[in-house]
Amino acid sequence: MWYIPFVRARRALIVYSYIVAAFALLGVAIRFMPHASAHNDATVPPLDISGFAVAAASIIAGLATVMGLNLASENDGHLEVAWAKPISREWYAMGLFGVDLIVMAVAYVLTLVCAIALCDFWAGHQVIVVRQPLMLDVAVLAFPFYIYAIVVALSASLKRNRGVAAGLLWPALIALLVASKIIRVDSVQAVLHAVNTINPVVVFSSQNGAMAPAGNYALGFALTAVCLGIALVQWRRLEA
Amino acid sequence: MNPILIDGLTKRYGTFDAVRDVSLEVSAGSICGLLGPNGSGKSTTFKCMLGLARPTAGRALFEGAPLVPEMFEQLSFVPERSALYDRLTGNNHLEMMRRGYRNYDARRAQAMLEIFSLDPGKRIHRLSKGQRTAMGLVLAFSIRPRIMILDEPASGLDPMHQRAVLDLLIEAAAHGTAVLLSSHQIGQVERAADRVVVLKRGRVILDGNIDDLRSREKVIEAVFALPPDEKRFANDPRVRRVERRGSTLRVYVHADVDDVARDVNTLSPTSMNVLDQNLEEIFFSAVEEPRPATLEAD
Repeated sequence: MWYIPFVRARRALIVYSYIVAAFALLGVAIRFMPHASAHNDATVPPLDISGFAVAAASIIAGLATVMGLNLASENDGHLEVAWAKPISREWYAMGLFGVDLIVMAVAYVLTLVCAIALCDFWAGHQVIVVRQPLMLDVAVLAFPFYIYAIVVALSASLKRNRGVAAGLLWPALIALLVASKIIRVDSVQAVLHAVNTINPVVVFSSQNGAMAPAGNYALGFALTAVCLGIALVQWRRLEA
Repeated sequence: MNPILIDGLTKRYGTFDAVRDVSLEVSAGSICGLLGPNGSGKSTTFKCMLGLARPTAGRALFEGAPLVPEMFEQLSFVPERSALYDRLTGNNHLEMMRRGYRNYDARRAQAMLEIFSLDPGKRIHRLSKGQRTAMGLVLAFSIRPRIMILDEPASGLDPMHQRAVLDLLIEAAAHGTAVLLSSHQIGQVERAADRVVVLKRGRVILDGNIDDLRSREKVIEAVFALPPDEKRFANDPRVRRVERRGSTLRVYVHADVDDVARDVNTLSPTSMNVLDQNLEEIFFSAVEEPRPATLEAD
Protein backbone atom coordinates (compact mmCIF):
# COMPACT_ATOMS: atom_id res chain seq x y z
CA MET A 1 0.00 0.00 0.00
CA TRP A 2 2.91 2.32 0.71
CA TYR A 3 4.97 1.20 -2.22
CA ILE A 4 5.29 4.68 -3.74
CA PRO A 5 6.48 6.29 -0.45
CA PHE A 6 8.82 3.33 -0.08
CA VAL A 7 10.29 3.78 -3.57
CA ARG A 8 10.66 7.51 -3.01
CA ALA A 9 12.34 7.05 0.38
CA ARG A 10 14.56 4.28 -0.97
CA ARG A 11 15.75 6.60 -3.71
CA ALA A 12 16.53 9.32 -1.16
CA LEU A 13 18.49 6.80 0.90
CA ILE A 14 20.45 5.61 -2.14
CA VAL A 15 21.38 9.16 -3.13
CA TYR A 16 22.34 9.89 0.47
CA SER A 17 24.44 6.72 0.63
CA TYR A 18 26.33 7.81 -2.49
CA ILE A 19 27.12 11.12 -0.83
CA VAL A 20 28.31 9.43 2.38
CA ALA A 21 30.37 6.94 0.34
CA ALA A 22 31.94 9.79 -1.62
CA PHE A 23 32.98 11.52 1.59
CA ALA A 24 34.30 8.24 3.00
CA LEU A 25 36.37 7.61 -0.12
CA LEU A 26 37.67 11.15 0.04
CA GLY A 27 38.72 10.56 3.65
CA VAL A 28 40.50 7.34 2.73
CA ALA A 29 42.21 9.00 -0.23
CA ILE A 30 43.47 11.83 1.95
CA ARG A 31 44.76 9.32 4.48
CA PHE A 32 46.97 7.71 1.86
CA MET A 33 48.36 10.94 0.52
CA PRO A 34 52.15 11.11 1.07
CA HIS A 35 52.12 14.05 3.47
CA ALA A 36 49.24 12.74 5.62
CA SER A 37 50.42 12.20 9.17
CA ALA A 38 50.36 8.65 10.43
CA HIS A 39 48.56 8.22 13.68
CA ASN A 40 49.98 6.80 16.80
CA ASP A 41 47.48 4.83 18.83
CA ALA A 42 49.37 5.44 22.03
CA THR A 43 49.06 9.23 21.83
CA VAL A 44 45.57 9.68 20.39
CA PRO A 45 42.87 10.18 23.02
CA PRO A 46 39.59 8.27 22.72
CA LEU A 47 36.50 10.09 21.46
CA ASP A 48 33.00 10.06 22.89
CA ILE A 49 30.42 8.56 20.57
CA SER A 50 27.93 11.25 21.54
CA GLY A 51 29.83 13.81 19.46
CA PHE A 52 29.40 11.59 16.43
CA ALA A 53 25.75 11.05 17.26
CA VAL A 54 25.02 14.78 17.41
CA ALA A 55 26.96 15.39 14.19
CA ALA A 56 25.20 12.54 12.40
CA ALA A 57 21.79 13.74 13.61
CA SER A 58 22.57 17.24 12.36
CA ILE A 59 23.48 15.88 8.94
CA ILE A 60 20.30 13.78 8.85
CA ALA A 61 18.33 16.92 9.68
CA GLY A 62 19.33 18.12 6.22
CA LEU A 63 18.00 14.93 4.70
CA ALA A 64 14.84 15.36 6.80
CA THR A 65 14.30 18.81 5.32
CA VAL A 66 14.11 17.25 1.86
CA MET A 67 12.11 14.19 2.88
CA GLY A 68 9.59 16.36 4.70
CA LEU A 69 8.28 17.42 1.32
CA ASN A 70 7.19 13.91 0.38
CA LEU A 71 3.61 14.32 1.57
CA ALA A 72 3.29 17.64 -0.25
CA SER A 73 4.59 16.05 -3.45
CA GLU A 74 1.54 13.76 -3.37
CA ASN A 75 -0.56 16.92 -3.39
CA ASP A 76 1.17 18.07 -6.56
CA GLY A 77 -1.00 16.19 -9.02
CA HIS A 78 -1.05 12.71 -7.51
CA LEU A 79 -4.02 12.79 -5.15
CA GLU A 80 -6.17 10.95 -7.69
CA VAL A 81 -3.77 8.01 -7.35
CA ALA A 82 -2.92 8.35 -3.66
CA TRP A 83 -6.56 8.66 -2.59
CA ALA A 84 -7.92 5.99 -4.91
CA LYS A 85 -6.33 3.25 -2.86
CA PRO A 86 -8.32 0.90 -0.64
CA ILE A 87 -6.94 2.56 2.46
CA SER A 88 -7.97 5.70 4.32
CA ARG A 89 -6.04 8.83 3.54
CA GLU A 90 -4.99 9.11 7.20
CA TRP A 91 -3.45 5.64 7.17
CA TYR A 92 -1.75 6.41 3.90
CA ALA A 93 -0.17 9.56 5.32
CA MET A 94 0.86 7.79 8.53
CA GLY A 95 2.41 4.97 6.52
CA LEU A 96 4.31 7.55 4.50
CA PHE A 97 5.59 9.17 7.71
CA GLY A 98 6.62 5.76 9.02
CA VAL A 99 8.57 4.90 5.89
CA ASP A 100 10.33 8.27 5.91
CA LEU A 101 11.22 8.07 9.60
CA ILE A 102 12.62 4.57 9.21
CA VAL A 103 14.73 5.66 6.25
CA MET A 104 16.05 8.60 8.27
CA ALA A 105 16.96 6.25 11.12
CA VAL A 106 18.79 3.96 8.69
CA ALA A 107 20.61 6.94 7.18
CA TYR A 108 21.57 8.06 10.69
CA VAL A 109 23.08 4.66 11.54
CA LEU A 110 24.89 4.62 8.20
CA THR A 111 26.33 8.08 8.85
CA LEU A 112 27.31 7.21 12.41
CA VAL A 113 29.05 3.97 11.45
CA CYS A 114 30.80 5.59 8.52
CA ALA A 115 31.99 8.54 10.61
CA ILE A 116 33.28 6.31 13.41
CA ALA A 117 35.04 3.96 10.99
CA LEU A 118 36.59 6.82 9.11
CA CYS A 119 37.74 8.52 12.29
CA ASP A 120 39.31 5.34 13.54
CA PHE A 121 40.92 4.63 10.20
CA TRP A 122 42.14 8.14 9.55
CA ALA A 123 43.06 9.44 12.95
CA GLY A 124 43.31 6.27 14.98
CA HIS A 125 40.78 7.46 17.53
CA GLN A 126 39.08 4.91 19.67
CA VAL A 127 35.42 5.74 19.92
CA ILE A 128 33.98 5.05 23.31
CA VAL A 129 30.78 5.70 25.14
CA VAL A 130 31.34 8.11 27.97
CA ARG A 131 29.15 10.42 30.04
CA GLN A 132 25.88 9.70 28.23
CA PRO A 133 23.69 6.65 28.33
CA LEU A 134 23.68 4.95 24.93
CA MET A 135 19.95 5.58 24.69
CA LEU A 136 20.66 9.27 24.19
CA ASP A 137 22.60 8.44 21.04
CA VAL A 138 19.36 7.11 19.69
CA ALA A 139 17.33 9.96 21.15
CA VAL A 140 19.25 12.50 19.08
CA LEU A 141 17.08 11.31 16.20
CA ALA A 142 14.43 13.54 17.74
CA PHE A 143 16.23 16.45 16.07
CA PRO A 144 15.90 15.28 12.42
CA PHE A 145 12.48 13.82 13.16
CA TYR A 146 11.27 17.15 14.49
CA ILE A 147 12.72 19.01 11.52
CA TYR A 148 10.98 16.51 9.23
CA ALA A 149 7.68 17.00 11.05
CA ILE A 150 7.92 20.80 10.87
CA VAL A 151 8.54 20.66 7.11
CA VAL A 152 5.64 18.22 6.67
CA ALA A 153 3.32 20.48 8.69
CA LEU A 154 4.39 23.60 6.79
CA SER A 155 4.08 22.03 3.36
CA ALA A 156 1.20 19.54 3.69
CA SER A 157 -1.29 21.74 1.88
CA LEU A 158 1.16 23.25 -0.58
CA LYS A 159 1.81 22.13 -4.15
CA ARG A 160 4.54 23.54 -6.37
CA ASN A 161 5.66 26.15 -3.84
CA ARG A 162 6.35 23.52 -1.18
CA GLY A 163 10.10 23.93 -1.65
CA VAL A 164 9.84 27.50 -0.38
CA ALA A 165 8.60 26.23 3.00
CA ALA A 166 11.59 23.92 3.31
CA GLY A 167 14.02 26.49 1.96
CA LEU A 168 12.99 29.18 4.41
CA LEU A 169 12.82 26.92 7.44
CA TRP A 170 16.51 26.93 8.40
CA PRO A 171 17.06 30.66 7.89
CA ALA A 172 13.92 31.30 9.96
CA LEU A 173 15.01 28.99 12.79
CA ILE A 174 18.47 30.51 12.93
CA ALA A 175 17.07 34.04 12.68
CA LEU A 176 14.83 33.35 15.68
CA LEU A 177 17.83 32.17 17.68
CA VAL A 178 19.99 35.14 16.68
CA ALA A 179 17.18 37.61 17.27
CA SER A 180 16.69 36.34 20.80
CA LYS A 181 20.39 37.05 21.48
CA ILE A 182 20.53 40.54 20.04
CA ILE A 183 17.11 42.08 20.62
CA ARG A 184 16.90 43.58 24.08
CA VAL A 185 13.31 44.84 24.07
CA ASP A 186 11.54 42.94 26.86
CA SER A 187 8.24 42.31 25.11
CA VAL A 188 9.96 41.07 21.93
CA GLN A 189 12.34 38.97 23.97
CA ALA A 190 9.41 37.37 25.75
CA VAL A 191 7.83 36.44 22.44
CA LEU A 192 11.11 35.16 21.01
CA HIS A 193 11.78 33.19 24.15
CA ALA A 194 8.35 31.57 23.91
CA VAL A 195 8.83 30.74 20.24
CA ASN A 196 12.32 29.42 20.84
CA THR A 197 11.08 26.91 23.39
CA ILE A 198 9.93 24.91 20.36
CA ASN A 199 12.68 26.04 17.98
CA PRO A 200 14.62 22.84 17.18
CA VAL A 201 17.88 24.74 16.78
CA VAL A 202 17.47 25.93 20.38
CA VAL A 203 15.91 22.77 21.83
CA PHE A 204 18.72 20.54 20.54
CA SER A 205 21.67 22.90 20.79
CA SER A 206 24.53 21.29 22.68
CA GLN A 207 25.37 22.83 26.01
CA ASN A 208 29.01 23.12 27.07
CA GLY A 209 30.01 20.53 24.50
CA ALA A 210 27.58 17.95 25.86
CA MET A 211 24.37 16.71 24.34
CA ALA A 212 21.11 18.49 25.11
CA PRO A 213 19.32 17.21 28.25
CA ALA A 214 17.26 14.05 27.87
CA GLY A 215 14.07 16.02 28.52
CA ASN A 216 14.68 18.08 25.40
CA TYR A 217 14.72 14.95 23.27
CA ALA A 218 11.46 13.82 24.84
CA LEU A 219 10.05 17.26 24.01
CA GLY A 220 11.37 16.86 20.47
CA PHE A 221 9.55 13.57 19.98
CA ALA A 222 6.37 15.05 21.43
CA LEU A 223 6.56 18.07 19.13
CA THR A 224 7.22 15.72 16.21
CA ALA A 225 3.94 13.97 16.97
CA VAL A 226 2.11 17.30 17.24
CA CYS A 227 3.47 18.56 13.90
CA LEU A 228 2.62 15.30 12.15
CA GLY A 229 -0.88 15.58 13.61
CA ILE A 230 -1.19 19.11 12.19
CA ALA A 231 -0.03 17.80 8.82
CA LEU A 232 -2.64 15.01 8.98
CA VAL A 233 -5.44 17.50 9.61
CA GLN A 234 -4.36 19.50 6.55
CA TRP A 235 -3.99 16.34 4.45
CA ARG A 236 -7.53 15.28 5.31
CA ARG A 237 -8.91 18.63 4.20
CA LEU A 238 -7.17 18.78 0.85
CA GLU A 239 -9.11 18.70 -2.40
CA ALA A 240 -7.79 17.44 -5.70
CA MET B 1 -29.30 -1.44 -6.20
CA ASN B 2 -27.34 0.50 -8.81
CA PRO B 3 -23.55 0.50 -8.53
CA ILE B 4 -23.44 4.27 -9.01
CA LEU B 5 -26.03 6.68 -7.69
CA ILE B 6 -25.54 10.42 -7.45
CA ASP B 7 -28.24 12.38 -5.70
CA GLY B 8 -28.44 16.16 -5.77
CA LEU B 9 -24.70 16.69 -5.94
CA THR B 10 -23.74 20.34 -5.63
CA LYS B 11 -20.32 21.94 -5.45
CA ARG B 12 -20.04 25.64 -4.84
CA TYR B 13 -16.85 27.71 -4.94
CA GLY B 14 -17.75 31.00 -3.27
CA THR B 15 -20.77 32.20 -5.22
CA PHE B 16 -20.02 30.04 -8.26
CA ASP B 17 -21.90 26.79 -8.65
CA ALA B 18 -19.47 24.42 -10.38
CA VAL B 19 -22.00 21.60 -10.07
CA ARG B 20 -25.63 22.12 -9.17
CA ASP B 21 -28.06 19.46 -8.12
CA VAL B 22 -26.69 16.73 -10.37
CA SER B 23 -28.39 13.36 -10.04
CA LEU B 24 -27.76 10.26 -12.09
CA GLU B 25 -27.64 6.50 -11.82
CA VAL B 26 -25.59 3.89 -13.61
CA SER B 27 -26.72 0.31 -13.46
CA ALA B 28 -24.49 -2.76 -13.58
CA GLY B 29 -23.45 -3.65 -17.10
CA SER B 30 -24.26 -0.27 -18.56
CA ILE B 31 -22.19 2.62 -19.85
CA CYS B 32 -23.24 6.16 -19.11
CA GLY B 33 -21.64 9.03 -21.00
CA LEU B 34 -21.32 12.34 -19.24
CA LEU B 35 -21.12 15.04 -21.87
CA GLY B 36 -20.74 18.77 -21.68
CA PRO B 37 -18.63 21.65 -22.89
CA ASN B 38 -15.43 22.60 -21.07
CA GLY B 39 -16.20 23.98 -17.62
CA SER B 40 -19.61 22.32 -17.48
CA GLY B 41 -18.73 20.46 -14.27
CA LYS B 42 -17.93 16.95 -15.48
CA SER B 43 -14.58 16.63 -13.72
CA THR B 44 -15.89 18.34 -10.59
CA THR B 45 -18.76 15.87 -10.51
CA PHE B 46 -16.29 12.99 -10.62
CA LYS B 47 -14.13 14.53 -7.92
CA CYS B 48 -17.09 15.10 -5.63
CA MET B 49 -18.32 11.55 -6.20
CA LEU B 50 -14.94 10.12 -5.28
CA GLY B 51 -14.21 12.28 -2.27
CA LEU B 52 -11.43 14.12 -4.08
CA ALA B 53 -13.44 17.29 -3.49
CA ARG B 54 -16.00 17.96 -0.78
CA PRO B 55 -19.49 18.40 -2.20
CA THR B 56 -21.46 21.35 -0.85
CA ALA B 57 -24.61 19.23 -0.91
CA GLY B 58 -25.82 15.89 -2.16
CA ARG B 59 -24.33 12.45 -1.98
CA ALA B 60 -22.83 9.68 -4.05
CA LEU B 61 -23.55 6.05 -3.29
CA PHE B 62 -21.62 3.09 -4.62
CA GLU B 63 -23.46 -0.20 -4.50
CA GLY B 64 -25.90 1.45 -2.13
CA ALA B 65 -23.38 2.77 0.38
CA PRO B 66 -21.34 5.94 0.77
CA LEU B 67 -17.80 5.71 -0.53
CA VAL B 68 -15.35 4.01 1.83
CA PRO B 69 -11.68 3.35 1.03
CA GLU B 70 -12.31 -0.40 0.66
CA MET B 71 -14.59 0.36 -2.31
CA PHE B 72 -11.48 1.21 -4.34
CA GLU B 73 -10.76 -2.52 -4.49
CA GLN B 74 -13.67 -2.59 -6.95
CA LEU B 75 -13.57 0.92 -8.33
CA SER B 76 -11.18 2.34 -10.89
CA PHE B 77 -10.86 6.01 -11.63
CA VAL B 78 -9.00 7.45 -14.58
CA PRO B 79 -8.60 11.21 -14.11
CA GLU B 80 -8.58 13.66 -16.96
CA ARG B 81 -4.98 14.67 -16.30
CA SER B 82 -2.48 11.92 -15.65
CA ALA B 83 -1.84 11.60 -11.91
CA LEU B 84 0.97 9.09 -12.36
CA TYR B 85 4.38 9.66 -10.81
CA ASP B 86 6.67 11.17 -13.45
CA ARG B 87 9.93 9.83 -12.09
CA LEU B 88 8.70 6.28 -11.65
CA THR B 89 8.39 3.66 -14.36
CA GLY B 90 5.33 1.85 -15.61
CA ASN B 91 6.62 -1.23 -13.79
CA ASN B 92 6.73 0.75 -10.53
CA HIS B 93 3.10 1.68 -11.04
CA LEU B 94 2.13 -1.91 -11.81
CA GLU B 95 3.95 -3.01 -8.66
CA MET B 96 1.99 -0.39 -6.74
CA MET B 97 -1.22 -1.97 -8.04
CA ARG B 98 0.00 -5.50 -7.28
CA ARG B 99 0.79 -4.61 -3.68
CA GLY B 100 -2.24 -2.42 -3.09
CA TYR B 101 -5.14 -4.29 -4.70
CA ARG B 102 -6.21 -7.83 -3.99
CA ASN B 103 -7.88 -8.16 -7.41
CA TYR B 104 -4.79 -7.20 -9.38
CA ASP B 105 -4.51 -9.41 -12.43
CA ALA B 106 -0.95 -9.47 -13.81
CA ARG B 107 -1.98 -11.26 -17.02
CA ARG B 108 -4.67 -8.69 -17.66
CA ALA B 109 -2.15 -5.90 -17.08
CA GLN B 110 0.30 -7.53 -19.51
CA ALA B 111 -2.42 -7.91 -22.13
CA MET B 112 -3.34 -4.26 -21.71
CA LEU B 113 0.31 -3.19 -22.09
CA GLU B 114 0.39 -5.09 -25.38
CA ILE B 115 -2.86 -3.54 -26.60
CA PHE B 116 -1.44 -0.06 -26.04
CA SER B 117 2.12 -1.01 -27.14
CA LEU B 118 3.56 0.37 -23.92
CA ASP B 119 7.05 -0.20 -22.59
CA PRO B 120 6.57 -0.50 -18.80
CA GLY B 121 10.27 0.01 -18.20
CA LYS B 122 10.07 3.65 -19.25
CA ARG B 123 9.71 6.41 -16.72
CA ILE B 124 6.36 8.18 -16.97
CA HIS B 125 7.89 11.54 -17.87
CA ARG B 126 9.37 9.91 -20.98
CA LEU B 127 5.94 8.87 -22.22
CA SER B 128 3.80 10.94 -24.56
CA LYS B 129 0.47 12.34 -23.38
CA GLY B 130 -1.38 9.52 -25.09
CA GLN B 131 0.92 6.89 -23.59
CA ARG B 132 0.36 8.32 -20.11
CA THR B 133 -3.37 8.12 -20.67
CA ALA B 134 -2.90 4.54 -21.83
CA MET B 135 -0.81 3.71 -18.76
CA GLY B 136 -3.58 5.07 -16.55
CA LEU B 137 -6.03 2.84 -18.39
CA VAL B 138 -3.76 -0.20 -17.97
CA LEU B 139 -3.76 0.38 -14.21
CA ALA B 140 -7.52 0.93 -14.15
CA PHE B 141 -8.33 -2.26 -16.02
CA SER B 142 -5.71 -4.35 -14.22
CA ILE B 143 -7.90 -4.82 -11.13
CA ARG B 144 -11.02 -5.93 -13.06
CA PRO B 145 -13.21 -3.39 -11.26
CA ARG B 146 -16.98 -3.56 -10.86
CA ILE B 147 -17.21 0.21 -11.25
CA MET B 148 -15.21 2.38 -13.64
CA ILE B 149 -15.20 6.15 -13.70
CA LEU B 150 -13.22 7.64 -16.53
CA ASP B 151 -12.67 11.32 -17.22
CA GLU B 152 -11.77 11.74 -20.89
CA PRO B 153 -10.25 8.25 -21.14
CA ALA B 154 -9.34 8.55 -24.80
CA SER B 155 -7.69 11.96 -24.51
CA GLY B 156 -4.47 12.05 -26.52
CA LEU B 157 -4.83 8.52 -27.87
CA ASP B 158 -4.60 7.79 -31.58
CA PRO B 159 -7.80 6.65 -33.31
CA MET B 160 -6.81 2.98 -33.15
CA HIS B 161 -6.25 3.08 -29.43
CA GLN B 162 -9.37 5.19 -28.91
CA ARG B 163 -11.30 2.38 -30.53
CA ALA B 164 -9.47 -0.14 -28.33
CA VAL B 165 -10.55 1.78 -25.23
CA LEU B 166 -14.15 1.74 -26.35
CA ASP B 167 -13.97 -1.99 -27.06
CA LEU B 168 -12.50 -2.58 -23.59
CA LEU B 169 -15.25 -0.55 -21.95
CA ILE B 170 -17.94 -2.35 -23.89
CA GLU B 171 -16.37 -5.67 -22.92
CA ALA B 172 -16.16 -4.62 -19.27
CA ALA B 173 -19.81 -3.57 -19.29
CA ALA B 174 -20.72 -6.90 -20.89
CA HIS B 175 -19.16 -8.54 -17.84
CA GLY B 176 -21.29 -6.46 -15.50
CA THR B 177 -19.10 -3.42 -14.85
CA ALA B 178 -20.89 -0.10 -14.41
CA VAL B 179 -19.07 2.51 -16.47
CA LEU B 180 -19.39 6.27 -16.17
CA LEU B 181 -17.25 8.20 -18.61
CA SER B 182 -16.93 11.74 -19.81
CA SER B 183 -15.73 12.53 -23.27
CA HIS B 184 -15.67 15.20 -25.93
CA GLN B 185 -15.74 12.45 -28.57
CA ILE B 186 -19.49 12.33 -28.92
CA GLY B 187 -19.38 9.76 -31.69
CA GLN B 188 -17.51 7.39 -29.43
CA VAL B 189 -19.93 7.90 -26.58
CA GLU B 190 -22.77 7.23 -29.00
CA ARG B 191 -21.12 3.97 -29.98
CA ALA B 192 -20.38 2.75 -26.47
CA ALA B 193 -22.91 4.28 -24.11
CA ASP B 194 -26.48 3.25 -23.62
CA ARG B 195 -27.27 6.40 -21.71
CA VAL B 196 -26.06 9.99 -21.72
CA VAL B 197 -26.24 12.85 -19.30
CA VAL B 198 -25.43 16.31 -20.64
CA LEU B 199 -24.17 18.99 -18.29
CA LYS B 200 -24.13 22.69 -18.96
CA ARG B 201 -22.90 25.22 -16.41
CA GLY B 202 -23.01 22.55 -13.75
CA ARG B 203 -26.60 21.49 -14.36
CA VAL B 204 -28.06 18.45 -16.03
CA ILE B 205 -29.84 19.68 -19.14
CA LEU B 206 -30.36 16.36 -20.87
CA ASP B 207 -30.54 12.88 -19.47
CA GLY B 208 -31.76 9.69 -20.99
CA ASN B 209 -31.30 6.50 -22.88
CA ILE B 210 -29.67 7.20 -26.26
CA ASP B 211 -32.43 5.47 -28.25
CA ASP B 212 -35.09 7.39 -26.31
CA LEU B 213 -33.27 10.64 -26.95
CA ARG B 214 -33.03 9.89 -30.64
CA SER B 215 -36.75 9.19 -30.83
CA ARG B 216 -37.61 12.24 -28.72
CA GLU B 217 -35.23 14.85 -30.09
CA LYS B 218 -36.23 15.90 -33.62
CA VAL B 219 -35.71 18.86 -35.91
CA ILE B 220 -38.51 20.38 -37.91
CA GLU B 221 -37.08 22.09 -40.96
CA ALA B 222 -39.52 24.36 -42.74
CA VAL B 223 -38.85 26.53 -45.78
CA PHE B 224 -40.92 29.67 -46.26
CA ALA B 225 -41.43 32.01 -49.17
CA LEU B 226 -40.65 34.96 -46.88
CA PRO B 227 -38.46 34.93 -43.78
CA PRO B 228 -40.69 33.61 -40.99
CA ASP B 229 -41.09 34.98 -37.49
CA GLU B 230 -39.19 32.50 -35.31
CA LYS B 231 -40.03 34.30 -32.06
CA ARG B 232 -43.32 32.45 -31.90
CA PHE B 233 -41.45 29.31 -30.79
CA ALA B 234 -38.79 30.99 -28.69
CA ASN B 235 -40.47 30.32 -25.34
CA ASP B 236 -42.29 27.14 -26.27
CA PRO B 237 -41.53 24.52 -23.58
CA ARG B 238 -41.57 21.74 -26.20
CA VAL B 239 -38.86 23.49 -28.18
CA ARG B 240 -35.20 23.37 -27.24
CA ARG B 241 -34.00 25.96 -29.72
CA VAL B 242 -35.03 27.79 -32.88
CA GLU B 243 -32.70 28.73 -35.70
CA ARG B 244 -33.51 30.84 -38.74
CA ARG B 245 -31.27 30.93 -41.76
CA GLY B 246 -32.78 33.15 -44.39
CA SER B 247 -36.20 31.76 -45.14
CA THR B 248 -35.47 28.37 -43.54
CA LEU B 249 -36.63 27.74 -40.02
CA ARG B 250 -35.18 24.91 -37.94
CA VAL B 251 -37.07 24.08 -34.78
CA TYR B 252 -35.30 21.71 -32.38
CA VAL B 253 -38.01 19.82 -30.56
CA HIS B 254 -37.64 17.61 -27.52
CA ALA B 255 -41.29 16.65 -27.03
CA ASP B 256 -44.48 16.22 -29.04
CA VAL B 257 -42.93 16.70 -32.44
CA ASP B 258 -46.27 16.18 -34.19
CA ASP B 259 -47.88 18.93 -32.14
CA VAL B 260 -45.09 21.37 -32.92
CA ALA B 261 -45.12 20.38 -36.57
CA ARG B 262 -48.81 21.24 -36.72
CA ASP B 263 -48.05 24.65 -35.24
CA VAL B 264 -45.26 25.24 -37.76
CA ASN B 265 -47.61 24.22 -40.53
CA THR B 266 -50.02 27.01 -39.57
CA LEU B 267 -47.31 29.44 -40.77
CA SER B 268 -47.81 28.01 -44.31
CA PRO B 269 -44.31 26.84 -45.19
CA THR B 270 -43.57 25.91 -48.78
CA SER B 271 -42.03 22.66 -47.51
CA MET B 272 -41.54 21.00 -44.16
CA ASN B 273 -39.58 17.95 -42.98
CA VAL B 274 -39.13 16.26 -39.62
CA LEU B 275 -35.50 15.16 -39.29
CA ASP B 276 -33.83 12.70 -36.95
CA GLN B 277 -30.73 13.79 -35.03
CA ASN B 278 -27.64 11.86 -34.10
CA LEU B 279 -26.20 12.26 -30.61
CA GLU B 280 -23.82 14.98 -31.72
CA GLU B 281 -26.68 17.05 -33.10
CA ILE B 282 -28.76 16.41 -30.00
CA PHE B 283 -25.79 17.49 -27.88
CA PHE B 284 -25.24 20.69 -29.83
CA SER B 285 -28.90 21.57 -29.87
CA ALA B 286 -28.90 21.19 -26.08
CA VAL B 287 -25.74 23.10 -25.21
CA GLU B 288 -25.34 25.70 -27.95
CA GLU B 289 -26.23 29.23 -27.05
CA PRO B 290 -28.58 31.01 -29.48
CA ARG B 291 -26.37 32.82 -31.96
CA PRO B 292 -26.73 36.52 -32.66
CA ALA B 293 -29.32 37.28 -35.34
CA THR B 294 -26.68 38.72 -37.65
CA LEU B 295 -24.94 35.35 -37.75
CA GLU B 296 -28.14 33.41 -38.13
CA ALA B 297 -29.35 35.26 -41.18
CA ASP B 298 -27.51 34.05 -44.25
